[in-house]
Amino acid sequence: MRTVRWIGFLSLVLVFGAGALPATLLAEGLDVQPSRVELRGQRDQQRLVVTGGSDGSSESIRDLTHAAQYSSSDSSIVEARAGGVLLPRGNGTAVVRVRNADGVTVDVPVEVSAMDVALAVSFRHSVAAVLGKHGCNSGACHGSPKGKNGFRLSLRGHDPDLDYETLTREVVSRRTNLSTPEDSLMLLKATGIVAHQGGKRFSTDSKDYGFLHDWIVEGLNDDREAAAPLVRLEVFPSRRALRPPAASQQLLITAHYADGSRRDVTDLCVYSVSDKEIADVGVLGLVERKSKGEVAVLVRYLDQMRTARLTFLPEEATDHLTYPKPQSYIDQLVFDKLRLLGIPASPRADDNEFLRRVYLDTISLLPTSAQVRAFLSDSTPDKRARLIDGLLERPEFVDYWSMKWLDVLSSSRKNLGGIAVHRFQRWVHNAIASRMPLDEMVRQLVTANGDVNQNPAGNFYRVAAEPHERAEITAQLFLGVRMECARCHNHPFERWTQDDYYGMAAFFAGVKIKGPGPDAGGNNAKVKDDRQVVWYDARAPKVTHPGRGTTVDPRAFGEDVPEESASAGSARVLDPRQGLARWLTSESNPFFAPSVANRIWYHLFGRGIVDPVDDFRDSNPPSNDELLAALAADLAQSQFDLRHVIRQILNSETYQRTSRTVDGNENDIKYFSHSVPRLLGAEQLLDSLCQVSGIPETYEGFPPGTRAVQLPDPGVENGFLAAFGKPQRNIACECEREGDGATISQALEMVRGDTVHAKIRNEKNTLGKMLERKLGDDDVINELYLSTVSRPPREAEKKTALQFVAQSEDRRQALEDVLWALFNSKEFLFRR
Amino acid sequence: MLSIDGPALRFCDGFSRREFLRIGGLSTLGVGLPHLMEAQKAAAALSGDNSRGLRHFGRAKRCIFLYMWGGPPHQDTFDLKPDAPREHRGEFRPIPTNVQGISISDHLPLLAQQADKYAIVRSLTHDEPDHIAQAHDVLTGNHYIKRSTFITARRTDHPHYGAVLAKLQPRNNGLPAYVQLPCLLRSNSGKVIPGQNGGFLGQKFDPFMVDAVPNKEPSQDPEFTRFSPSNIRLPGGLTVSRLQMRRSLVETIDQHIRETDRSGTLESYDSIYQRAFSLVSSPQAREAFDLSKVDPKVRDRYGRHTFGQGVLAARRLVEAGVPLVTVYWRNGPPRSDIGWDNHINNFPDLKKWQLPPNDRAVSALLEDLHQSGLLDDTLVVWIGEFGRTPNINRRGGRDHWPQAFSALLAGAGIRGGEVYGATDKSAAYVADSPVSQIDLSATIYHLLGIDVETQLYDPLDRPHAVCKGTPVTGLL
Repeated sequence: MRTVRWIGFLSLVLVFGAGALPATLLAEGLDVQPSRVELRGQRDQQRLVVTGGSDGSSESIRDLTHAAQYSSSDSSIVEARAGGVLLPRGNGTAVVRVRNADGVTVDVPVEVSAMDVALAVSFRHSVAAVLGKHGCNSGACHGSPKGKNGFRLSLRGHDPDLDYETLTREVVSRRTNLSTPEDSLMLLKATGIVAHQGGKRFSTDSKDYGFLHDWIVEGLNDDREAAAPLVRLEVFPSRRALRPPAASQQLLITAHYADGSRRDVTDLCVYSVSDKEIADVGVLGLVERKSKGEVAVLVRYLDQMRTARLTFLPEEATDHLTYPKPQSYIDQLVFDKLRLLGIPASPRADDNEFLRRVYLDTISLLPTSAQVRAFLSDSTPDKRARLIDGLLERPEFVDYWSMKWLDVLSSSRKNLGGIAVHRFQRWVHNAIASRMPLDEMVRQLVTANGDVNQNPAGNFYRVAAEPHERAEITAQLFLGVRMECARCHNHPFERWTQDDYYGMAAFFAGVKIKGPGPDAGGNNAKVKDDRQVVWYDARAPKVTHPGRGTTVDPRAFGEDVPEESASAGSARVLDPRQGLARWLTSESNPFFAPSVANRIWYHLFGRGIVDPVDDFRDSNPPSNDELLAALAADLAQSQFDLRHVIRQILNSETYQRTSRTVDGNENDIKYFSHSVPRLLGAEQLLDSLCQVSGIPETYEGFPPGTRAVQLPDPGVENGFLAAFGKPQRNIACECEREGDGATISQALEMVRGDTVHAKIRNEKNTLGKMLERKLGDDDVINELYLSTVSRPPREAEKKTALQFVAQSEDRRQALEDVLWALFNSKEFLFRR
Repeated sequence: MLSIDGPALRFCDGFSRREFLRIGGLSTLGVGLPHLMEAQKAAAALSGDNSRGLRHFGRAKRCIFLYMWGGPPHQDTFDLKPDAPREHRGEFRPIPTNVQGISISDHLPLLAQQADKYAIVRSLTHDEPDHIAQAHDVLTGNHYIKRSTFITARRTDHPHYGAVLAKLQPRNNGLPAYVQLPCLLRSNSGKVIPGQNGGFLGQKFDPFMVDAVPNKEPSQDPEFTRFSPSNIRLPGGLTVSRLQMRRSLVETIDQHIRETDRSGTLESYDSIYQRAFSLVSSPQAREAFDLSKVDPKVRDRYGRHTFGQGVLAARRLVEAGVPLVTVYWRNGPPRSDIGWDNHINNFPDLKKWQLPPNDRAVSALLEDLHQSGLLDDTLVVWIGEFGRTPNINRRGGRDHWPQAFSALLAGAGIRGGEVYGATDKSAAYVADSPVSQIDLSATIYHLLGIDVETQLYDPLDRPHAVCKGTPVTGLL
């Protein structure tokens, strides 16, 4: 270890040469944050975070906070403890010297003041933070709506006024005991002296105990007026990559208040990590590596949150890893990330695997045996690119990609009525067929007005009745943001607040629907001839903020959106949705293009760069920021051309990796080092069974030959589709189509289901036709393999199958068995 | 994904979340400050024995839930009021049971002989007069949030008891996690009743459905062969041995991919496929579902009707290792179109179609479970959405009445031979010890070993407590 460290250090010197180190770069790569310290009052403290090898690049960087030695020039002024904790001891100035193992030192000037002044414990800044830090006000404990054991705090402390009342005033309360503070129930419980269902939270000699205890002793001061509001949190380091032996990072969290004051609140924050496989974080902000990879560390103090992004690099050098020649920015960025993390990429998928995959992903059909043969025998170098171009022009592409949109737009007979469900499908279908830019499509949906028969885009508003529901759907679909939690309380893990939520809802306050037809709850679903009209009523009551009881103006995540100005003298109605639609799809909107690009990526890879696709937040970062940014930029530059982005992706080497893993990428599911197999979708699978067997499925009320992908309404009765989880379009979430893992009823459908059975048994199926044409066993088996798993049988497979058929008394039955086996094979059931 | 219990929220004394939640359960049993010592003892014993502070927690190893769709009239079944005014009391008379002081309807003579085995809860009460919304509450222990009058099962509903059990206490014994008999419950207009399935936990947690009777038409299946569910029966022309042959063909195709693909996605499919295959081919599973081999005398004892055979099938399934079976009330032919919704002809229907099958099937079930000793750790629940009006309407019916109704509970620590709570003289309002639906559900969860405060996560990762009720200590 020591040698490695030295090499790191030497290389630093070599790279920069002797005098080339920037002045800020401190004594030979030792950085201490903060560089000067002010401590005010007896309870103050300051952590130092010490970084070694900090040349600004990455290889040699290491957190030395817990390894460095600290000494105070005057311990009657400041005490320097191990781990870099500075505590005030007396007024005056002193210097704390930080020394690394090599004897390099940095001096930090310290000024201590106000030691002789009695500074009361702040309820707002300290007591509230302690309650949050120890989870007292979490949803599982006293923050639950009912509280616990008669003691209720506001969820995650969002209402400090109420919490103050609860702790000090509630009638039966012995929670705070002014005469003998040590007997206050909140102290006895939290320290486990009196049995506490939540267990012992801290001990009597802890600093946190001190805050609560002293606050009680001082007479339960509420500094509601005096406490300066928290303005922001600063996290150091906000981003860092660490190569072993560096395996931990101490964070330093500084709170900035409205009065300009600052305070080290590292010990008062709540920490969590986005991926526990990668790292853990302790209660005092020490992040410790578990394996290579990237994590976001979410830091919360009072009502503010920030994240630190840490990358734990692989131990081994990654120079030996080779990646294919990038076809575009996509490959460049994916392979850069893989190299950084030391994950090898799988080889290129062979023609069979690629062919089947790209057919399913674009047009949701299998290649026919003829198409497989043609592609395999084509030896031109650009055959994959030409195939992709051809598939994107197929009408089935429009069917399939319309269905994806209709799923999340909740288009169903139940929601819209029997006619509108067809019209809405046609509208989306036309938009995609005519290459309507996706931003335009979204603008048309969001600003839709008029008779939904003439303008089916208005159906967007018919799936949800309330302004807040419409806001949720809009945010989820077009911004990739889940705001539901903020309806009742500020989002627990994110910066979305109730203000953001109701500000967004306010855009939809005046959206009205009139006329017969099912309402947004699905009532009157039997009304066939719906003539509903969507319109905007500017005089409609505004949205009310439930906490404040005041009305709310439309605001998009804190931004005012300019209202459409009514032209002078005209009676034109002001409709804030116009402004919203422009804001949504504007170039400066940091959410729109990434969320749309991410959704397209998700459909092709089975996983978003941000995943789940509608859960963009700081604490759920993209697995590859640069990739998402570039993809979004490409999408925007192409005028939001769906096919352009799909073509870019399909032509990438990244997309064309095999599902076969290699040593070192077996566990990767988020950096796209190989293709990840997934079960075919319900419609895809049923359509494939029909396609291969030549026996179409019949759906009541639809012409023969209708494919499942084309069905406008999810309510169609079909046991197979139901078993495989065709979404019922109840919620605006891709998650309604359950991707993770098969169910037993799905397996039963394949093993003994009537659908599979009937298609195999039907005399007139593909098998029957081949027998009629007197094809030999050899040819039949070839054909079956090509049309189901898109490859010819391997020698061993063919031999087994031929033998099996030859030994059977009933040739047709034996061939049926072979077809059944192919349908039940993983190569058929999975898109690889 | 960010998880709620980040390291900062771990408890410093090393309690896991689950253990903590178990301690949390203490409060719901009323162990407050006066019982500190007891609570401490219980906390100390947390990792092992739960029974000390939490009576009968997890005692029910299996559960048969008899759901009386429609809402049985409590005053004509288990809460008779012979002294009520004439216009309320109806034509049935109480008869004594084998427990002194407890009497039930004279049309339940067999159940009267089993009263020592069950507790009657006479003080259930809530304020939901809608069948469909209340079905959700009865079947999940959670209040249905009405978004409109159009109610149908959605993936935002709460999960059924069986789904929660499957989620929190999975058993991989090759049998379904929970079974539903005799069919999918739909309203008269065809809407799927919420609460029957996995709800927000997803399709994976839906019940294994035995579609034994058509939903509306009379059953054309006098021998009840369809209790062997169609989805494990092999279609015509297919035998178990042929299926096994087919499977070996699949093996040869899958061999290649198995060798090259190590990403795990495919492996998880293997285990599901294996379970499906064994359901179809293993004698154990097939026999559990197959009533045709059962002694005809036993079948007679449960009654040769949909409900009786369903209850018999349920008993056999829990014996085989299925943790929970729900039997939904279906009248036998020719009245399979109605539930207990006696807005008209209350008394003739009770006498002919509703009480005799119930009397026979439920008493046979209790007797058999008692005989085999299984009643000790098998919970039996008999309940509908609500009770019915004290007033008898002009069509001789009783209408919806959620203000007061009755349920039966038996086994798994429920004290038999007791009556819990009481109603007033017309059985109109609860007079003593009211029990809300969700508290009753909390009691069921408690007996099943599920702490009601355990959090379940919906697809949007929002936490939901299993049930917001509090177990009814007086029943345990």
